[in-house]
Amino acid sequence: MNVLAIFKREVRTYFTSPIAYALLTIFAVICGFMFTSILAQFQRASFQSAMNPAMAQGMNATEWVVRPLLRNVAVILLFLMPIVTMRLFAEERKTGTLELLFTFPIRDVELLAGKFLAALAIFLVMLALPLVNILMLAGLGPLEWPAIGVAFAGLMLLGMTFLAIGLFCSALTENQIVAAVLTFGAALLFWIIDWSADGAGGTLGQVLSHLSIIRHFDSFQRGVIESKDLIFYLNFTIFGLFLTMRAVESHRWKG
Amino acid sequence: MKRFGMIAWIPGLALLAAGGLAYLFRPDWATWAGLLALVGAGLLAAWAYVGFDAILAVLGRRATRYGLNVTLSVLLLLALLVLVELISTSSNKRLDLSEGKRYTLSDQTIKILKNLKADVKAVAFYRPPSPNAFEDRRGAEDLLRRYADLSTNFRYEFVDPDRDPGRAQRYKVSQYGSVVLEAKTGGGSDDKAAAPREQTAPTAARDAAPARTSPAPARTSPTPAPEKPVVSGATLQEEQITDLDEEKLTNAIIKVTRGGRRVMYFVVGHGERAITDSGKDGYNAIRTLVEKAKGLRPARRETARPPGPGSGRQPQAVPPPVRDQGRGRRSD
Repeated sequence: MNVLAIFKREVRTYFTSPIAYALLTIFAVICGFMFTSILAQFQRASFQSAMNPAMAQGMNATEWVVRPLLRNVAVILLFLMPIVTMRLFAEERKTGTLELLFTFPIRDVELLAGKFLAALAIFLVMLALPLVNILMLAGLGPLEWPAIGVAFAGLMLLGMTFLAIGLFCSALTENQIVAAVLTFGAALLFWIIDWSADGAGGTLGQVLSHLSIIRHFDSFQRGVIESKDLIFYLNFTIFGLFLTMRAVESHRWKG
Repeated sequence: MKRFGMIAWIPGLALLAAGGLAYLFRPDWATWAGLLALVGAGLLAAWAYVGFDAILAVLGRRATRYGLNVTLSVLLLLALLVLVELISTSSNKRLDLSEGKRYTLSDQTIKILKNLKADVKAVAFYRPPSPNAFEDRRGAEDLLRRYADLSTNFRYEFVDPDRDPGRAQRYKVSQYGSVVLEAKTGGGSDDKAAAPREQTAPTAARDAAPARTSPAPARTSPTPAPEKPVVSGATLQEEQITDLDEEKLTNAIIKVTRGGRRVMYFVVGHGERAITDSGKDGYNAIRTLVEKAKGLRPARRETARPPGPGSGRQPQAVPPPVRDQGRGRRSD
């Protein structure tokens, strides 16, 4: 019940401030622009394939439009998710309401769950925007809905890892900008960490490659669920949330 | 001295970390890395000795106790998650929901990989992903990983030909995106391949073939039966492919694991031209070409193979019979 109360409070805060509206508007505009660009490329390729039957074999709206679109959405999330999470704990600390929350009969885990679910709800609303583009595309031709569903599930899992990183960074500081910068930096680092995998080689290279959060999205965007990718995202999220809980707890005993 | 002892933990930790990192990135510097770590550990020990009372006092504080508690719980959870990751990576399960399961290997490939007895290594020459690298490294990596997931005998390695031109030269690789497969087949103590015994009679070789070969993918041409060359030790088979895809990779695995050269039979006994005849009408020149061809060796067969199971596995040449010049039937 406490989780629900925190959840409602957080969602209300999102929508009573301009954050959610600005975020959703920017996200919708960028997604729409990307969708239009990718669709135009697909259209050109379709015309060319009309003259080249061999090329037509691989023409598929899901592969040519939806997959690149969702891959690009993942990149946009890297930039926008820090904005979703930056205020969750930093603002509470800045205004001193975190200490007030500690006096309520709410457990830390409930507080964390409420805030996480609220951020996840905003994120799911964001994800509905590219879905609108895809629904428009569905009016033009058949799409592989099971594969698209898997790709969206992958995006949701990827977003959850961003949320976990963001919540932890927000719990570390009382400055929202610092929290956002920390979140972006950490997420970007985990995004590109496999760049050094080749240079490192051996076991270290494999570990670095495995830690890359975008590499685990590859199978999802193809419409393939791999248990190791699913478990990686869940583990990453659990670890991030656990660190957040410990960081929040530390405010109690640090005084 | 005491003052230095109190801050010795800083260079101590730094040297310990430097030693560990040096060993991690340059295992060949193990001696120097060990020396650094040893000095670091010595400094830490000196710090602990000099400031023992102060350390005890800090450890007794409430914040330190909580801090250690938090660190310990984080490390425990991390260890648990690492364990889960290791298990999930080693026993990965896939569910392909794309249309026609286009990201799933064909049944034939799966069968070949499940029956793979020889160690096959794929060396993929790709540049690291970048806007300038046009080759699809991620796609190749995904494909090779799917193969490796199905057989512990299949391994792969990515080599950047720009950073390691020596290996590219050794494998005679001239373009990005090439994959070289190598397998040790035939004799040798480390050979795990179920390599066939050489058949002296051509028909016996043909009859033995189906048991030794695995079926090729549906899209590929029929697979030739393996025939092991006379070797005293293991034979290293290599096959290079470009524009990697499942069909090419599976065929290459079949080629490198079949353990010898394919036999090209020349039918004799019905007045056909002889492969030993170096005259104007003879087929000696063709025999020489076949001998020089990679993976082929010529042999003679008394009769043409009748159609049926196993036929078409080996290339077969039927030279036109010699009916003119009054030489009659000729058997070589």
